[in-house]
Amino acid sequence: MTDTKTEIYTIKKRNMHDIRNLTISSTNPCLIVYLIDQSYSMSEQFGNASHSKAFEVAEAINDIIYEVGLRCIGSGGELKNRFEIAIIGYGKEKNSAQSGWEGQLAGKWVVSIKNIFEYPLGQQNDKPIWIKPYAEQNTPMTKAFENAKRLCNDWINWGNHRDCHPPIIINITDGEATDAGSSFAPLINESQQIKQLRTNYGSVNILNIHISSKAGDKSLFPNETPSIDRFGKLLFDISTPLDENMIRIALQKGYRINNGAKGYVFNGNASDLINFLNIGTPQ
Amino acid sequence: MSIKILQLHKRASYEYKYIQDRYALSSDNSVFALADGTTQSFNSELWAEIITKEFVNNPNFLPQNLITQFKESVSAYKNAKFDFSPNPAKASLERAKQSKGGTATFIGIRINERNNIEVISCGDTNLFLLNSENKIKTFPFSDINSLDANNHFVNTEVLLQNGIDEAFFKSTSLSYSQSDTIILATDALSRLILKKPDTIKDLLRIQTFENLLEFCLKKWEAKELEEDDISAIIITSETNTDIKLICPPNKFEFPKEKEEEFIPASLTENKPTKNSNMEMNEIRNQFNGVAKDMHHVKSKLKLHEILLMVTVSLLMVNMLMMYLLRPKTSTPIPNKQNTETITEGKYEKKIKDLQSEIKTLKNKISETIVPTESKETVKETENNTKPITKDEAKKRQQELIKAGYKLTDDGIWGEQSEKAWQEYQSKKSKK
Repeated sequence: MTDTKTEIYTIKKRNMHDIRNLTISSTNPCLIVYLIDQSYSMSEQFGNASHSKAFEVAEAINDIIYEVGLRCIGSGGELKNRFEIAIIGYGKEKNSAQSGWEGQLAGKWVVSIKNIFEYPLGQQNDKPIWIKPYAEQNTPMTKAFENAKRLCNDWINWGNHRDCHPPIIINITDGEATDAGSSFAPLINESQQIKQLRTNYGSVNILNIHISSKAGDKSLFPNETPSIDRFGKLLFDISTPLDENMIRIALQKGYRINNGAKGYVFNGNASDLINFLNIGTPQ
Repeated sequence: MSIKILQLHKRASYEYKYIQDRYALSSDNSVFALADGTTQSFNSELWAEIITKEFVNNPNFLPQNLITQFKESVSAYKNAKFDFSPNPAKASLERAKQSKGGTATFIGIRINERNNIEVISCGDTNLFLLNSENKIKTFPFSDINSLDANNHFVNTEVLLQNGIDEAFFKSTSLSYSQSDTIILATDALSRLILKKPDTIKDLLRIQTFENLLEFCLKKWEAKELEEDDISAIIITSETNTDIKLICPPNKFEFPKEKEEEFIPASLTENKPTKNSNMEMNEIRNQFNGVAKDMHHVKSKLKLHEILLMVTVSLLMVNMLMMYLLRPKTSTPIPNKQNTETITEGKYEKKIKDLQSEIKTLKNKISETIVPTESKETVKETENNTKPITKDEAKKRQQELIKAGYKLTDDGIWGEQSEKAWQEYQSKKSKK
């Protein structure tokens, strides 16, 4: 009860709109930013699977884009621009974070769902794909978050985007940032700056899926800091709590979560990964 | 019976042809059906059309019978031709949607002569019965919460898998008076009427498309009405049957929103297309500066080129002059070529000596043939004639005229005279 009161108070105080009354549409689209770790360690095997983490992540991202497409296609075959998607890859080149789009979309930062389906990279099993797996250099995660911050800031201040769903940043990684020092201060700083960015419907969400293959129990949408390594704890700390819609989808997917659960998963399997992406994508 | 059908597509669909609500009616049998095809399913408007027509042709109010009837109609939906998108990625989405089938809500009614209405429904399309006292009866949903809680639809694939239960359908029989007005409405409009029952009066006042458009736009802008396809069938009791369709005219369409691509200005890769005027001026100035420098460099290069050409030309002239004006008595260089030149010179001298000797001899011969008698010389008119005196010439000419040569004795001794003279002399000597 106290939480609800606090929430209503906060909404009134900040003169914000209730996100429950918002419909994501082509006039009020939603931005999703995927940060993909492309460092060398992503070439390691993913859990018990025969393929690498990089492969699993690329498959999951291609699947979620396809899923978003299904939500946006109208009866007449027209795709409504309800979503705009950014992919930022980090670690493909040393100390560099750049647009993860390839082919005709190479170099673009944000692409509308309509254009995404106009220019896929190719087809696999009768489904379009947009990204390929990469596992190359180090892990410049701070740089990726810095780019995401700039991108979200520009997006919020563009057109009518202040009246849209706040952007959602989904970071998929398997290891420690190599550009955050021993205290991770730069990364914490970037994430704090991101959390200060907001539309009229709330502040930017940061969700982290940590597909570490280190020993340790799975931790799915925890409310409290899980007993994992210090970098895992950091990712938990920088993650924002799941909103009402995300909690609803997570419950539909069979996760037992409480209000205030954070958008963080540690040591999840392949289905956790795709569910995580689904939960992070508003409906 | 007066029947009024109201239809307006949602703004996001732009054109009426994309409306996914379908209706069918038989005024003779007093049977009416309304279905709302869902946006998320494949070709849902076709499925909505099939089930409404099927119901009007064979009205069935027993849920199990209706389910069987609809299940048999699925083949008509599946066999319908559909043009998939030429874009393989979009076509893949369409196939994925097709595999999940078409989904629609449904409500069907029949007005009986016994003054009752039979109703069968699946989904959130609702019936409102307004009596003369402005009291409203509703079916199947009487409040928004129960309407929103509905989770039952008629889906083709679920039908084929026998996944649709009788309980998904709600049926009833309502008592009906001639003064009552029956309204069948799809979910958005039903929600509005349930929330604000007075709206029904505004709805009944709609007589033209302009009225309908104004009503919907007003409610949409006020966020009272959901942005969805709007459909209603309004039936009132009249002596004559009158069917009126109020829907958008052919040329009507909602304006399409401007599609502008968002380009993040602070991420430099795509920066050029979103520069401010100040940045553009800066770039322009820099470009002009570079162009100026380039022009300067080019003109300097041209000058250097000309200077180089002049220098080379001067050098060549100099060398030529040196060659031509070289001293002839230059010290001989002891080589083969010089030796040859000296030998040639010797022979040339000998030839010249011999030529002058021949010339002297020739003169002596001519002197012996033609003796010089007169001191008065005749002016030579031709190069090869020998000089003789005028008298001598006259004398010779007279002799030649006598001998039959055609000449004049003018004393001028030319080549012709000489030739005739030589010929005359040789003839004379032969004789």
